[in-house]
Amino acid sequence: MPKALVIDDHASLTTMVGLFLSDAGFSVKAAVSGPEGLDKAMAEPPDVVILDIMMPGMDGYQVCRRLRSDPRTARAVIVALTARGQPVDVDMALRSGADLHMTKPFKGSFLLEEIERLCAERRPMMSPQGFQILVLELEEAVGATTLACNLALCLAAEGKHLTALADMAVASGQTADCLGLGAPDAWPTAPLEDTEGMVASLVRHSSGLFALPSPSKGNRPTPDQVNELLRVLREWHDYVIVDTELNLGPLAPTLLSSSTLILLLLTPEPKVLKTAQTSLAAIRRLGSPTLQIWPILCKAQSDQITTRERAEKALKLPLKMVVPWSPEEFEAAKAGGKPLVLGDPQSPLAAAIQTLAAQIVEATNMRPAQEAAR
Amino acid sequence: MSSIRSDIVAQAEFFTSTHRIIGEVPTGPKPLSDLLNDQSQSYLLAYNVYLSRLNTPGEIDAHAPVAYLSKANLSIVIVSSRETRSPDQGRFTEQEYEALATLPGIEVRGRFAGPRRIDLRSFSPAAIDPFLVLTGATALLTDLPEQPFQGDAILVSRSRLESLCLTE
Repeated sequence: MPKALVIDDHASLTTMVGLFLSDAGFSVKAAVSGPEGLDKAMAEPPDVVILDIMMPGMDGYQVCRRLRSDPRTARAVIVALTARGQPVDVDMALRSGADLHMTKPFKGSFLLEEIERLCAERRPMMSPQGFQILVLELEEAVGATTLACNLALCLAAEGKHLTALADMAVASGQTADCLGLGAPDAWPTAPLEDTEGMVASLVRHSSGLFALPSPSKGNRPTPDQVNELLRVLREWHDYVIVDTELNLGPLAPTLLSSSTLILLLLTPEPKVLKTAQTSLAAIRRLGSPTLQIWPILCKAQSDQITTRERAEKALKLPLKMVVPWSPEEFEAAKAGGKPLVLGDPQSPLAAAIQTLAAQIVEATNMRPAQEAAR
Repeated sequence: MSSIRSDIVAQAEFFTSTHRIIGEVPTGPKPLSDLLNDQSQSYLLAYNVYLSRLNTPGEIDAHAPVAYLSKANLSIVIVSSRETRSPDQGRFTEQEYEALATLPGIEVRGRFAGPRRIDLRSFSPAAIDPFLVLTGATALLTDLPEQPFQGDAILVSRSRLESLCLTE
């Protein structure tokens, strides 16, 4: 049964709206203040929030921003239901994160129609748990972090998919730098129990992407801790992109067994292609039987057809993509302090990453609820 | 919104030279325009008020359960149609004009019901009602002209009026 939360300091209105929603099949909770509404939302994340704006203490705009900034509640459909009906008020509500602005007095049937429409648009075919995508490079400095960050931004773009980027390169993680974000001191030691600590470790990028940068202090996380972290992230997000250190390190079994898809970044260097088969065998051994592997060739500068053929022959797998290599693009993005897909979305590399994101969305939308198709 | 009084209340948007104030005014059976035009009282009491600065009119900067509003310092008041008196069909309201009113920092466009031969001296503050009514009106803050404010009626303070342009 879908869950609704009605937040309005006018108790009779919460009752009336609650009745509409429960008649329509929602399980309804009510709150008469912003803080009470937030407490109830965090305790039991709703699918739909009907939110008054003019409330003493914490107004509806503040409540809306808080709901959107927490991954537990970020995907809820939020309807601002208010007597503030000027264009400037509509704009303010939408900028605060509401999906819809509706003025009082309102028609119950219209409210229900709009809620149903917004819920249907929300996550039409996603599985109950998010998809975890591991980005792994077979050689140093191929661009795994750049790809992971930009891919995550593409998936999160325009609020289409709630996406998290987890940096598992604990000693050397660079996702925080790539996105211009701070890093937490440490990750929660018991993520499943400590959801507040988990939320505090996540950093929300202005694009809407949630990032879990590698911690700046604290002990190296254990495989169990990482397993729990990723499980919580998959519960809260549609996609979890995992950036990791070269060769995965001691977290290899944990990361491979929990991932749905691995983006394997390699270069056309003979020594890389020679060892690629060994790497693939290890991945298949440690990964789940349904793990999909998408090899992606990077730094292919000359004669791409021959290079592609050589790589596919070495891997005994078709390449998913050949990423155009442009050192100038990387340097420009670094100098500008902005990821490529935000700073120069028309560039060939940014376009390739956008295409990759679209392919991932298509592949995961076609999945049955639990299994990946090969 | 919660109400402190159980009387009939009108919700309105009050604009001063610096703030947009949304609040509820107990009116009883009379429209709010009557209370504003009642010259025996220089103020209104509004309840459950939310204040916004005019340079960011969408943001809520403060809330108070009750506020004293000085009528002399109100520029315009945006109301629903039931908060104004319908123009009597008589000699003084038989002609509808397109009106443009300017006040410090605000422009208001709407329709004004007046006599067929208008005497502009009747728009001075010494004339009958301190607030004149423009219907189907839109107000613009001159510093934010891309964000209009609309209402069934906008009551414009004559004492703060800089100019009034009428077109038949």
